[in-house]
Amino acid sequence: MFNLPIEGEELFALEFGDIVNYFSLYTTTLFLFATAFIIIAIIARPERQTDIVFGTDAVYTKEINQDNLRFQRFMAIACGLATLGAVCSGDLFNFSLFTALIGITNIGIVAGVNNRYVLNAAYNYGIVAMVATTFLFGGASMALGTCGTLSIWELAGKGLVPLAAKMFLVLGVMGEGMAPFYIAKAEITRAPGAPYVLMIHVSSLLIFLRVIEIILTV
Amino acid sequence: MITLIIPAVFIGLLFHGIHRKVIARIQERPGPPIWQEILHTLKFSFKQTWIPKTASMPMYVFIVAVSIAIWTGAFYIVFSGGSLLLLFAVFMLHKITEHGLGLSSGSPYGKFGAIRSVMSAASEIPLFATIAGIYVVTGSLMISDITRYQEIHGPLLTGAFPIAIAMYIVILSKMHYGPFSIIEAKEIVSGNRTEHFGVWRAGLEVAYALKTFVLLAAFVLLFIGALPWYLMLIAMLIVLISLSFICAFTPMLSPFDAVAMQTVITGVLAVYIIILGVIG
Amino acid sequence: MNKESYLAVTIITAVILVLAAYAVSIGIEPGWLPVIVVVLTFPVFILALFLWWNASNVEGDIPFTGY
Repeated sequence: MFNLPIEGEELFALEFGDIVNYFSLYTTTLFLFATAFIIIAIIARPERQTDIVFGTDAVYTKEINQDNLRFQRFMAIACGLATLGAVCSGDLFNFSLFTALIGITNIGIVAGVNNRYVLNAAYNYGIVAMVATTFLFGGASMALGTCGTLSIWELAGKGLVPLAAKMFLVLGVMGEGMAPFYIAKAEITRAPGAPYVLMIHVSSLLIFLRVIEIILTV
Repeated sequence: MITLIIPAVFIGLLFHGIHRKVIARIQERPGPPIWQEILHTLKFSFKQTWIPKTASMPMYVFIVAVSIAIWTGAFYIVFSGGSLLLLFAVFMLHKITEHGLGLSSGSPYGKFGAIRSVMSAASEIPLFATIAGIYVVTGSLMISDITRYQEIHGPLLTGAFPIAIAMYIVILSKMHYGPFSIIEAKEIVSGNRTEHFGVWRAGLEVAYALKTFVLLAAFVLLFIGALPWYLMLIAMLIVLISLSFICAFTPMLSPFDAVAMQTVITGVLAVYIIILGVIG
Repeated sequence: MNKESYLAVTIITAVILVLAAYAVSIGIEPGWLPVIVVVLTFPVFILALFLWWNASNVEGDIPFTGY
């Protein structure tokens, strides 16, 4: 391991040439957390949202469409798997690729709801995620252009990656993990399926945590 | 060290009680006795418990267990001198559990609490400023290295005061009745904890007691240094009482003000860290 | 689950926690293993303990839970 006083001891490393996929104490924690929430997304049944009829005392529970939920669950599991990939990859390009996949599946989770407003919101997130992809891969390619390698293992502790590339990576991750945009819009109160919606936040926060580790390491 | 976890829970609950007592005295109320929160937790654990019909099972129960698990982990990270980055991860994962708590029940109040919890993830940004600042100053993110640095160079509280302020604000944003505790504002009943009652609520109280203990201990370790255990407890108590004063004197901010305020603080810190990085 | 199964879970997790504490005291390698064990069992222990003393051992009526 690269013996940096950042993320704790190395537990496991798998070499593919100069690309080394590794588990440190830090990434293992993130990995386990993501795994736990994938299992929850698989086994949990969605909550039934209660809503108050405006101006009255009446409370009703919303109907849940099984087909949509099946799609949402699939997307949530895919999102979790992409998060696992992003958390344990030891390569800037693979990290970017998995992060882009998280962006796509996040949109999928939201788009599984049969509601005009929610779909409209999903369209907006799609645009943000697409724009963010530019920064994400831009950051990775800048790192490749200046250092000649994408391996985090090789780059660790050398401080070769330019600050702009790091900024691009962070910007890209902030765009792909759509939790901050998602909560700022009213659509979140309309979308049912708590275990799947939670997966959006799990993946967004985990890739954010991972990118912080990367920019401190490289 | 494993045997310390139960005392830590009780001390954390006692700290919650002291927090309430100090706030009450400042506001000229008699206030509850300081062991009230311990009784509170026990009371909840004896109350009748079931699972709401609308709740998402097993997430509704699982999320309580996760809440306890992450702060148990944080307890070990702090006291084994582990990575500060890992502690930061726990702070973020706490946001996810708060969010999950609110979402899992199906109640609109819980859901609003959950949304506010993600919105106040902005309160974690000062923490990132803390981490970056500490890394710039000490050159390491392992808590053991940071305490060793302080033995040589003196406490970071005086050496890097703005970073300590950032960490202080993070702790403040996680205290009950504070200006930033928008997720448990009374207009949304109890926010994300509305539907977790009985045993589930008692479990959450245990998790939050550990949280308070870990946050205060981390602050003392990071900015004052390693102390004998009784001095450590006294230092934690002093930090807590200063927080109680702030909580007693400030009203709860509106959600957007809370986020704006925390973002401004982070911006100021970012400038400080950049200056520190360039000059130092 | 009934009261006996909660008690069983409480005892099992308590035994695991004590074993983990013992493993730390003899300095087991790797050092993170007992920590992970504690992180995973402590929440179960707390919740099972609370549910155990919460659970009633008489067959009661279904409580009135509101309209």
